[in-house]
Amino acid sequence: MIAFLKRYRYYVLVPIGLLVVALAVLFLLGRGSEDDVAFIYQLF
Amino acid sequence: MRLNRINWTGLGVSVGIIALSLALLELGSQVLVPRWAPTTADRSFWQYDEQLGWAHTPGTTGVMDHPEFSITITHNSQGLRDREYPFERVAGRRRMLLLGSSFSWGFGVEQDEIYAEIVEARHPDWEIVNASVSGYGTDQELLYLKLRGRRFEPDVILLPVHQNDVAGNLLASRYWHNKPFFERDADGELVLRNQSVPAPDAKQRFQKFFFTQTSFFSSVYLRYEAVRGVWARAAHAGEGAKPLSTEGFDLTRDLILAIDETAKQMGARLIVLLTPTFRDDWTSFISQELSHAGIAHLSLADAFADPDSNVRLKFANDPHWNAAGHRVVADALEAFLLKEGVLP
Repeated sequence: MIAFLKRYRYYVLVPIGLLVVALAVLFLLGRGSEDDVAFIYQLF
Repeated sequence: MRLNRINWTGLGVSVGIIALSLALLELGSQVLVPRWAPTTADRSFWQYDEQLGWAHTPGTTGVMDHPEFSITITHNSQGLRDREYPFERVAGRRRMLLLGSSFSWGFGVEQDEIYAEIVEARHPDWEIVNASVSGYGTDQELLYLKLRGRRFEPDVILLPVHQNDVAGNLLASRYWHNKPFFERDADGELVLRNQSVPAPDAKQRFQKFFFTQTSFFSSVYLRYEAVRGVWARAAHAGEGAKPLSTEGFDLTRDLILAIDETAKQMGARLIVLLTPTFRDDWTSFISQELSHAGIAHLSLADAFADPDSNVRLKFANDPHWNAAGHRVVADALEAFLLKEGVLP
C-alpha cells in the first residue's frame, strides 16, 4: 500500500492540490451568495 | 511519472482520490452544518397545485430545522398556517385576508410570533386570515384571491410586496416548481399563462433533490453561479450602466392594480405593505404608482431603520424576519391601520 502510494504520489497530491485551490477560489470569489441560499431553501 | 504515454492506473488513482475527497467533504458538511431541509412526520409541507403551481399540504404538522431556528409548522384543513376559519363570516367581527409569501407565512418563527397573529391578538373584533404561501409571487397571490381567497369574504386585503416579487413575477418556474404567470399584451392587458400548471419534470425534481439533500455540493454550485455573475459583470464593465428594465416593475404594478380591482369587486379594501427588502428606487417607483392609483400603502423601511434599535430584526444569514422583526412589523402595521381608520 505504502509502495503503491509512493509510486503514485503525484497522482494523489496534484489532484488534491488542484481541488483545494479550485474550492478556495470558488468560495472566495463566490462570497455574497448567502441571500440566494436563503431564498432557495424557503420552499421544498 | 511517465508523461510520454497515458498512465491509466495513475489516472484512475487521481479520479478516485478526487471522488473520495468530494464524498468526504459532502459527508463532513452534512455532519457539521445543520440540514436546512424541514423534517416532517410523514409528508412535505408543500404539494403540486394545478392552478397555483404549489400550495401547502392541508393538515400537515411538522418541524422545520435550520441552522438558526427550529420551528413547528401546522397547516389547517385549508392549507393555511393559521387556525381554522369557516368561510362564513361571524357577526360583529371584521375580517382581513393576508396574501403574502414566506415572510408572512412565518419562515423562521413560531405561528404566534407572526405579525398578523400579534395584531389579531390585540384586536379581538378582527379576524386576520393568513393565506400566505412560501415562495408565492404577486401573480400567484392574485390568482389565489380570485380562485380561493374571495370565499373568505374579507373587508380588507393585506398585500405585502417584496423585492424578489419583481423578478419572480416574470418567471414561469421558481424553486423547482412551475408556476402560473401573467404577460401584458399589446394593449397592456394581463394575460394568464401556464394554465394548467405543468407538474415538476424530472430535471426539476433532481434539482430539488440536489439542493435540499446535499450540503457541500449545493453550496459549491451556488458559489459557482455567483462567480459566473462576477465574470459576466466584469465582461460588460466597459459598456456603461444599462438602463434598469422596468418590465418587472410594470408587471408587478399591474398585478397589484388587478388585486385592487378584484378587492373592489368583492367590496374589500386593499392595503399594500412594502417591505424593507425593497431597494429605495424600487420602493419609490411602486409607492408613486400606488399613490397615483389611490391605494393605501405602508413602507416598512423607516420602522426597520430605527437608529435607536440595536436589536437584530432578521436572521444573521437569512433575509427573513425573526420574532423581533415580526414585532416591529406588527407595531408599524397596527399604527398604520389605526391611522387609516381600518382598526378602531
